[in-house]
Formats: sequence, C-alpha cells, structure tokens
Amino acid sequence: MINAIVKNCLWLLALAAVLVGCSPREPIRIGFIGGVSGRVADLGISGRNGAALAIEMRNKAGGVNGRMVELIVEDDVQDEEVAKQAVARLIDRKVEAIIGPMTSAMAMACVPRANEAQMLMVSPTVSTTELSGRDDYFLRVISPTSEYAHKIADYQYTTQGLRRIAVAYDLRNKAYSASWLADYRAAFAAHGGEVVMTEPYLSGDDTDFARMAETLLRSQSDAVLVIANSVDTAMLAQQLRKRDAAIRIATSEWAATERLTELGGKAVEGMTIAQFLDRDSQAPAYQAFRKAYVERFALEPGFGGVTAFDAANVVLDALAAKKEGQPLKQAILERRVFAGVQSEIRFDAAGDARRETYMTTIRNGTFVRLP
Amino acid sequence: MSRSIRFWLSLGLSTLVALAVVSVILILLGVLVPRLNRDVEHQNLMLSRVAATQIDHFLTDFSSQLDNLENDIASRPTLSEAQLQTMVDTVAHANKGLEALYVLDADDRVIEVGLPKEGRSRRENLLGIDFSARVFARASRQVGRKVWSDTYLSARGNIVVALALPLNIPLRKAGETAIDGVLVGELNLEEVSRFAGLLSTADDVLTVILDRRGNVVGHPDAVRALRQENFRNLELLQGEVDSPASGYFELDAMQYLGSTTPIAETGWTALVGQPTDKAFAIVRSTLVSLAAGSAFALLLAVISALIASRSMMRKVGEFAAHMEAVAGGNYHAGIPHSGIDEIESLAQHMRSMAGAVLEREARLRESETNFRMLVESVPQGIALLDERERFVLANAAFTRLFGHSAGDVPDLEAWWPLVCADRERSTRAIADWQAQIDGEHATAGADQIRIRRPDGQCRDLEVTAQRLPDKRLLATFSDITERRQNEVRQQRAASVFSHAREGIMITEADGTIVEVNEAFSRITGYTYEEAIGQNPRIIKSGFQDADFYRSMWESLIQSGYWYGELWNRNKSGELFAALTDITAVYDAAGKVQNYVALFSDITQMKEYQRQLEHVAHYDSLTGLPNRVLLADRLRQSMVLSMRRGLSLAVLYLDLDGFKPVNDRYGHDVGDKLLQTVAQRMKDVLREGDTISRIGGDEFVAVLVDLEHEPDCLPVLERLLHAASMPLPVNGHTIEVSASIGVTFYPQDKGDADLLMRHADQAMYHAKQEGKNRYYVFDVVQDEATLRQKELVDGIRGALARDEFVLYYQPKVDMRTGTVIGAEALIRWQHPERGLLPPSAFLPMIEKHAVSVEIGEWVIDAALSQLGVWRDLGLDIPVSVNIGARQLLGGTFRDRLLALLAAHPEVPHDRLELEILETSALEDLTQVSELMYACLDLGVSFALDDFGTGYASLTYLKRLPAAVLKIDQSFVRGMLDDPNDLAIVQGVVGLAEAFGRRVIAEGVETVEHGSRLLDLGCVLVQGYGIARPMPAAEFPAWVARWKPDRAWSAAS
Repeated sequence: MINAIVKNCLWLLALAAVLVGCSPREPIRIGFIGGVSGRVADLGISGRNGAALAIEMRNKAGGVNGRMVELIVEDDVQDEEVAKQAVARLIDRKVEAIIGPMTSAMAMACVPRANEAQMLMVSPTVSTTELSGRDDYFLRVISPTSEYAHKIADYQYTTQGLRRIAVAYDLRNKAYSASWLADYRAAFAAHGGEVVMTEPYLSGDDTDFARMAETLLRSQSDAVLVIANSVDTAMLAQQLRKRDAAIRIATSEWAATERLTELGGKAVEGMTIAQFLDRDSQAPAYQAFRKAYVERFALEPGFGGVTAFDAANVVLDALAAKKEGQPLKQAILERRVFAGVQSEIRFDAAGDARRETYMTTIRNGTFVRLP
Repeated sequence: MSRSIRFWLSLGLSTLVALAVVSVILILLGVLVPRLNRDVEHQNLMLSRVAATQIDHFLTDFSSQLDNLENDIASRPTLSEAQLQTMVDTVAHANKGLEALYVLDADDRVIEVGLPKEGRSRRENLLGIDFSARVFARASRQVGRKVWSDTYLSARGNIVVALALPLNIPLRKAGETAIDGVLVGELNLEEVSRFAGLLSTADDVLTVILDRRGNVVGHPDAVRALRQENFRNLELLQGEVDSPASGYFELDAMQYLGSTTPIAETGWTALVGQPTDKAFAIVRSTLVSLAAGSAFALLLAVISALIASRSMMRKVGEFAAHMEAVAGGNYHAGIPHSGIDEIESLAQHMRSMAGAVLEREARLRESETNFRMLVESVPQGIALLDERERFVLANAAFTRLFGHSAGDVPDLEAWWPLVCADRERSTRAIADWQAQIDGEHATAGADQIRIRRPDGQCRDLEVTAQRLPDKRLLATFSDITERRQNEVRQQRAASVFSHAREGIMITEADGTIVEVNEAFSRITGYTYEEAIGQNPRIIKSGFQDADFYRSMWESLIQSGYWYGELWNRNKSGELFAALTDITAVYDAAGKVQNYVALFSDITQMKEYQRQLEHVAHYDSLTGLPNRVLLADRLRQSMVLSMRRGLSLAVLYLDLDGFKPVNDRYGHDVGDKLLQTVAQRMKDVLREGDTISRIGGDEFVAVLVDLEHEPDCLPVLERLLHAASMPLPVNGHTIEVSASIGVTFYPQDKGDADLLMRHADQAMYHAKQEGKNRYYVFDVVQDEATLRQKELVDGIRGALARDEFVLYYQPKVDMRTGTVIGAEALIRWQHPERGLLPPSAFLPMIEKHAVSVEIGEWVIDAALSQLGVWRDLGLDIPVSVNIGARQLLGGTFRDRLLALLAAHPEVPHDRLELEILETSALEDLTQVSELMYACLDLGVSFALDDFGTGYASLTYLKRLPAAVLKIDQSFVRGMLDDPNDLAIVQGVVGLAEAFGRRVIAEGVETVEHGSRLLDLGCVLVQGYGIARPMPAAEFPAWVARWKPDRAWSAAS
C-alpha cells in the first residue's frame, strides 16, 4: 500500500516536469541604439519606431524560424561615453545584432567596440565617408555623404546659378557634418563655386541662432547651407528668414524629417534638400509600409522610419536564412541584395549600400520632389 | 477478488472522505471564483476613473494659470512689449512644468516668449519664429477656445505637449486694434510623468497618460514619455477610446489587467493597469490553498484508514511482548494501550510492582551523587589512602593538579618520585611531613615541594594530611604557584618605581600625595617627606588656565588617562616643562582609587624648539617675519577677509637709494639703516597688519580688514613718511625713501603668489613714476593687456603660418569699360573661425607694432602678386592701405625701398599707397615730407575715405596725393540723401579744381554708376562691379567684365 502511494507521487512529479519543459523558447534579441531623446529625437524616435514595426510585423507572422524577436532600445543621448556603455550593455545581453546608431558621431564612437566584440551593427542612417570601404562589423543601408553633397552642389550651381555659399555645421556630429562639408566643398569647387564662410557650432539648448544668422548673412553669400539636425536647421532658418526673407537656404538630408516642416513653418518654405526618401513613391511595398506605420504610430515614417525598417528587415531576413554556425555578417554579404521598401539595398563587400537620391524642396509644408 | 479486512476497511474510509472534499471544491469554484474575478475587474475600472479625474484636475490647474494670464493681458487697455515680457516670464518661471510660454500674433509668429529664469539667455532664438505649422495652435484660434496638443518635438529640442488658447493682445500703436493672438504653453513631460508616478505609488498600479496618437505623455518612468514611446498597439487601445473600457494587455513582457478612461477636454486617455499576477493574487492563492487543502485531506484520510485497521491487529501481540519484557527485568517498558479493560487492569499491577523497584534504586544513586559532587567540587586535590598508603580514591582536582591519575601507581611511595621536580629537596620535605602526621592535621612547607607535570609545567604545592581513626590517610594538595609569583612581582615593581628616570607621583582619589620616587625629588626639589600628604598644587605654575585643567580632568574622568605637556614650578620657584602622563587606578567597584602621574623634564627640549621656530620664520637682521611666515599669514588673511566680506591690501615696498648707502658707508651702516627703517615702518602699521622683510631692501606688508580701498591711504602715507625720515647713523645723516606697489584682494583675483607679483609690478611702476610714492595695480588694464597680447601672438603665428591672404577688388573706368587697377584687401584664413575680414582683427591692434608687420606683409604680398599677373600678361596698378603708425614709424621709406628692391620685376609706379585720412591728422608737415620722399621712389598716393574727416581742404593743399577716394558711405546714400549727394558733388568738384583724379567706392547698383557719371566721376569700385576676390580669379574676371549699357549710353 505504501508502495502504491510512493508510485503515485512519482507520477505527479513526472507530470510537473513535462509542464515546465513546455514553457516558450527564449526570444531572439536585437538591439537598437539611437538618440531617442533631446534635439535629435525625431530621427532616433522614427528609427526606433521603424525597427519596432519590422519586428512586430515579423512576430505577428510567426517570428524567425518559430522564435519570437525582442527589441532592446538604448538611448545614446548623443554622448560618446553613453553610447559606448549602451553598446557594451547590448553585447552583455547577447543580442544577435544592433540596429543603429542613427548619427555618424555616435557611430565613430561605437564601431570600434562592436568590431572588438564581433557584434554586427546595421545602421539605418549613418553616412559619414570616414566609415566607407572598411571590411568590419559595421554595415549600413544608405549611401555615403558624398552622394548627397554632389547632388546638391550640382543643383545649386547648375540649376539655381549660385556661386558663393556660407555654411553652418554642427560639431556635435562632426563625423557626419565635416565629412559632408568636405564632400560638398570639393563638389561645389569643381563646378567653380566657392564656400565663402564656414560657421561651425556646438548644438545645444544654449546655441545662439540669432548671432549665427547675423554672421552668416554678413558674408553676403548667395545662399546658406545648413548641415545640422532638424531642430537646429529649423531654428536657424527661422532666424535667417527673420532678417532676410529672400535668402536661399539648403540643408543636408539629416534634417529632412517631418519635424523640420513642423518646427520651421513658413521659414523653411523653398529650402532645398538632397535625400533618398521619395515621399511620393507609389511603389506597393512603400505604400503598404507607410499604411502600417501610420496605423501603428499615427505619424509619417520619415526617412529614419523607412531606413530603420529596412535595416531591421535585413537583419531579420539574414537571421532566418543563415545556416547553423554561420556568422550573421557572412549571411548578409552572401545574399548581398535585400528588398527595401522603396528600392533594393545592395551591399558591397565592405557592407556599404547604394540607393537612389533625389532633390527635393519644401512647398506648403511638405517635401516635394524637384525635376 | 480476495483481500484482507485491512484493505476493505481502508478503501471504504478513503472513498467517503474523497467524495465530501470534491463536493466542497465544486461549490466553491462555481460561486466564489467568478465573483472574485468580477470584483477585481470592477476595482480596476474604478481606479482608472479616479486616475482620469485626478489627471483632469492636474491639467485644469495648469490651464487655469494660463487663463489667469490671458485675463490679465486682455483686461489691460494698453500694454508695452516690456510689460508683456515681464508677465509671461513671471508665469513661466513660477510654473515648474512650463518649458516655454509663447505669445503668437495673428500670423502665428512668436512676438514674445516667457521662459524660466535659467533659459532666458537664448530668448532671441525663439522670438519671431513661425508657429503656423502647429495644428493645435491654429485650431485654438479657429474654435475660439483651449486646445491641447499631442506630444511633439519642441523648438528647444524636447518632447513636450502644449496648451493653446486664444488671446487678445492690447499691444497697439495709435489707431490700431488689438492683436488677435494665441497663447501657447509648452508643458514639460517630466512634470506630467511625475504626476503619473504619484498616481502609481501603490506598487501594483501603473498609470499612463496617452495622447490621441497613443504616444506616452506621462509615465512613472519619465524616459518613456521623453522618448515618445507609442502604446497604440496595446490590445486594449485598439477600439474606440472615447468611452471607458477594460481588458487585458501585454506590456514589457508582463500581462496586465487594465482600464482606459478619456481625459475630459484634452482628447487624451488615462490607462491604469495592474499586473494580472498581482491583481488576481487573491483569487489564485484561494485556488491554490483549496487544492492543497483538499489533497492534504485526502492523503490524511487514506493514511488514517490504513493506520486504524493495522493497529487493531497489532494490540494483542503487543501486550504479550510487554509481559515478556517486564519479566526480563525491563521495568521501564511502556504499557501498550489496548483499549480492552481486562488487559489494561493486568498491565496496571505489573506497572506498580516495577515502580517500587525503580524508586529504591533511584534514592541510592542520589546519595552517592551528592557525596561525589562534594568531593569533586573543591579546588584542592583530595586523596584517600589505605593504611598501607595505597590510593583508594582521588578527586578530579587531584588529577588536574598533578597531570597524573592516582590509578597510575601502586602507592604513595611510588607517587612522589613520579611527580617531584626537585627530587632531593622534595624528598627531605616529604620525609619531614610524613613524620609529623598523626591524628591531627599536618602541613608541609609551601616553598619546598615543587612538582613537574607531564606537560613540563612546574607548580608549587602545599600538602596537608590527616590519619583517620581507621588508619586510612586523608591528604589534601593545594596549588600555591600564583601566590608565590605575585610576591616576587611586587618586589620587582617596587625596584622599578624607585629607580625610574621619570618622576612618579601617586595620589589618593582626592589628590593627596601618597607616594613619590627619587626622580620626583630630583626634578621638583621636594623630598619624600616634604611631598607626602601634600596636594600636587605645590608644583603648579599658574601657566595653564582653568580651561586647560578642566579638559584634563574631563579626559581623566572619561577615559582614565591624560597625556600632555605641563609647565610646573619647582621648589626654588623655577619653571620647568614636564611631559606628563596621568593614569587613574580603579578599585574592583570601578571607583577611582589612585592617580599615578609620570613625568619627564623637557624644559631643555622646548627651548631648542623655540629657537628653531624663530630662525625659520623671522628675519635675523630686523626681527620681522620672513617670506615663509608672510606667505602663511597672507593666506590666512585672504581666507579671513573672504569670510568677513572685507578687502586686504598687499604692499610691496622697496627702498629708493639704499644701494648707494651700502656702497658708500659699508654693510654695517646698511644693516643698521634696514633695522631702523623696519622698526619705524612696523610702528606705523595698525593692529593686525603684518610687515615682513623678504630680502635685501624689499619688504611686503599686508593690511587687513579694509572696508573700502581708500581706507589704506593713511597707512600708505605713514609708511612713505616713516621710510623717508632722516636717519643719524654713526655720525652720518642718511636719507632714503620708499616706493610702494599696492594691490587689493579680492578685487585682484589670484593666489598669494600672484598678489605679491602684482604688487611687485605696481612697485616698479611707482619707481618709474619718480619714486617715493605708491602705485595701485590696475586689474582691468592687466586683463586688457593680456587679451591684446593673445591677439598679437595669434597674428604673429598667423604671419608665420602664412594664414593671411589678399583679396583684390577691381577699380574700373565706367566710360571706357577698362579695368584701371585693383585694391588689395587683407583676409585672415583662420583655421577655426573661417575667413575673417580685417574689421575682425585690425582695430584691436591699431596701436601695436604688429600692425606695421602686417602692413609690410601686405605690400610684399601685393608686389609678389603684381609680378605674377605681369607674367600672365595682366599689367594693372595695385593699391594697398597704409595706417598712420606704419607711415610715421620713422623707417617707412627705407622699408618700402627694401620691399621694392626685393621685387625688381615690378615697376614702382604700379604700387599705389592709400592713406586713411584720419591717420594723417597729427603732423601734416612730416607726412607731407615723407610722401614726397616716397614719390621720388616712383610710388603714388591716394587719400582713402575722403570726405569723412574735418580738414579735407587742408590735406588737399598740402599732401601730394594723385587720387581722392570718395568714401563709400556717401556713395551708398547719394541716391536717397541730398546731403550725401552734395558731398559727392563737392569732392568731385574739389578734385577737378586741384587737378586730382577721383574714384568712388561703394558702387552697388547700375543706378549709382549712372548717377556718378552724371556728376563727372568715371572711376568706381564696389559690389556693383565686383566683390573682392582671390587673386587667382582676377584675370578671368578682367577678361569677362563689361560695363553696363546704361553707362556707355550716358557717356
């Protein structure tokens, strides 16, 4: 009889063990790093949203080979030290790859650490030429700065007939802005134009845009070019147009977010920008993505949202396709071509990608493609 | 199926209990659990409503502040811009949550912005910016009431929400109506989150505020709002959100029960969630305990059924076994309870019999134990020996004492050799002792018996023995080792006491001296007999005050110890220093019994120390503090004056004419002079001031506690007077004086060394200005000099690194369409600041020699460029600007000649020098001579900026300039301002009259050119022709340029 009781107890224990074994499998972790607060938050937030949307959609469709995917978001606050620590935390948490960072200065700080840990970083928006052509663990889904700089220099000289340009650029993201400026200067000079003044500054709450605007206008240049985030670009444009309603303004693709038009109002009307996002695109993939994004966040995705969505999908596709024991980077470079929502993303052997670029301007508060 | 009775009995009982338990569980599950679930959900919905109401209050509070402001502004008849700014600033600063408060005009432009105090420095950034793209601001104007925004990225770079309300602004000029404006208050999300946090303080409630888009406005973790996280994808928020709803959702990998409630006017939503594991904790624990209780009841039922059936079968057999045990002598064997009367009674009789036997045995054992305890408890070893002196028993103390057991040997005779340390002496003592033993006690001498234990330790023994009536021997052994050691230790202590080098004094608790040693008598002079019975006051010197003794007694009472230096007086009245050490000695009750004081005489040592300190800190000649002590005092005074809010002055004094005195009369007289002057100066200082000699004839004084700088003037006058008084030394009368440099702290911010250096600099100034005076260091000038020096260094560096470049602006003849020359203009290609115009660096160094270096660089660079252009086939004159300093520097002609000589390929007449009119003002004769000398070299002159000074006509007559340049300010204004036009006409007329050429600067438009042609001025330069350009572009420009048709038509 006692034996019978003992036998029953053993049976119960076995049942419990089976139940525990059925608990869901560990999710796949993917990291995101970007400036999701402060002056560059629009780019960081749209990037985070784009990556999150890609993962939510993938999970709804059953995950990657049956496993759910979890996104771990880190804020770099645009501070090199904070960014390094954030990357170290993501490495500690054993993420498969990191989407980000969103700005070049942060990339310059993080990439050495990622390389050291052989941690794949796929950046949606970093475009400094300083990271071009390196065979390392840093990949990106857009073209380097030279593309945009050439495009805009060409447009300004040939179409707009501009010859003398004054430039304001943000040293807080020097890796990007200096690279952009150097490319632009060379491109514009090649046409015969001249950068007559450069006005570097450190972006922050105490930046004196009024004084900057006065200095830039004093150069009596034909136009002002701003290489900065959207908030600074809008604020500087406000100050420039306040003093000279007709001054021509151009900016780099970094500022080309929807917040630029919100913050700039009438002051950014007619501003020219070279960028890779075609907001009028009728491509079915883009239309479907935009609909999903707007339903999910009630906001336009902007270029940060598009490229982060693409970057996340590159990582997710590669994770699904990679063979047992194969490094993720190799899986990406082996496949090389990935579908993006607007155009194909083609990686070269160093992990840099090419995309179409377009000249745009702002008309009635929206970006309009120029012929 | 055949089974035992036991099996059927167990099965029946178990089934009965199981059925009962299952019925109870079913009833509970059917009724209780659904009810508990409903309660929890209802509770959650209530929480959400409460939260929504409170958030609504919070926002209403915020908006009512803006309402008040709006009323305030709208109710005023008129309002100045300054008043409006003050009003919005006040509200913005008072409300912690407000990031910024914008006032928009009818075109949605910011006409004023209110900021918290710390953000106001950048107000300019926000003024005038355009809000038209902000939907909520527009909406507020259209609907004519308050509108809350969703979260957005603000102009200051933060994620915020805002409230907009229509505002009538009475800012107006005469005849205008009030402005139809909007007031926008941007609310800090940290503040909203802090409030959400307050609502979430209960640990299992999460309160989140969401905007219309599902973005987080407030969350206990503010970061989630500041990062604009979006919760729109939560299941609970999928449907309509304009009425309260409850449901389940997952967030951060946690399952929640939550409810949403719309927040009145804002259109936002309050979401209150409770983790389901916490919310349903009670339901779950109820279920778990129900299941556990049932399982336990079932288990108990099965076990008790088994046991009951078994025990019935066992009872009879057990009683038989009991009988068997008692029979075998086991009186303790328990009686098995059978529950059967007959068997029970039989067992009771057995029990009483066994009990009686047990009781008797126990009494016997107790008596034995008592005696054993008595013997074992005494500290002495006890042994009982029989008449043949064999051990019968020995207690444990005996074994402990000897380290051997009595059982180890047959008798006492064998015992002693085993244990004795000193066989011979002990044997004798033992023999004596044994001889004494009879009926009485016999004791053996304490000193004589020493034993050695097996562990090597030796002990001294005292042995006592008694012969009992039955001839047996009872012996006790006591260990007296410790007693003997104490005696020896006491003797040694007494010897140390009397021979110590330190004086020792022992007193009663009340201070009466009871013991002193020889050293005491030697140091104090009091003999033993004189000291005993006295109080230590007999050596008190009175040097230490009452406070000193109070703290000494405190230390003695608290810690029983005091250590320190005392100045005492010996019997003959001389002072001596004693390094003293006092210890309190306590009795067993902890009361002070004695004080023991030890002291050594350190008088000699103190004297050496004092001498050393004096040498280190005082000047040996004058006895004044030296540099080291001064620096120390100055630092202390700086700290003190900061604390008191007063100033101090540092004076650097140097005697004028001291060296000749030394040379003429010798060093002895010089030293005497220094001593006397030092003493006089010291005498005229105030209390608290310090003067020190820091070397040679240099002194530094520190004057403290100055309320205003002039407070020190009387002291300065007295010092000058004291230094300059005639001085009879060895029959001569010598006179010197002092030069004094003064600087004030904290007006002069610096450390002690810097203050002394500044005072030193000021002293040199005083010397230069004629000695016997003081000079106050000029802090402002010092800083200006430093800044200019930086700029000059920068420019010298730039010259060395070749960072300057020349830009050239063409001069043209409008009539012929020819380029008649170029003006070279300097630019600084600054590595950090970009391309700088001359106005950014030249005005600051106008009076500095480096301006001449730059001027020469310009001439040299222009000459080089002339050479390059000539090689390219472009042969036009180039003009450079010359400043007054360069022109009148004395060597201008020679330098110019050298520069021209260095460029032999350039004809001299290609260089034109433009003299700024103001620069030539001072000495016209000299300027004129110089110009003629330069004309001889072949170069020509132009008068720049002509018309702006006062003496144009005089210049024109006396200076041989070939060209007059009309200043650009007149040319620019000539189209609108008749005065400017008149001046231009006048200058053209003058030039014609004096036969000079005239050129107009600042021609910006075609119209300017046409008008100048009308007036007869054909030579021009200005932006309307071309901006200054790099030299490389110039030839191409010359080839390209054509005059405007309008000009050719006019000519």
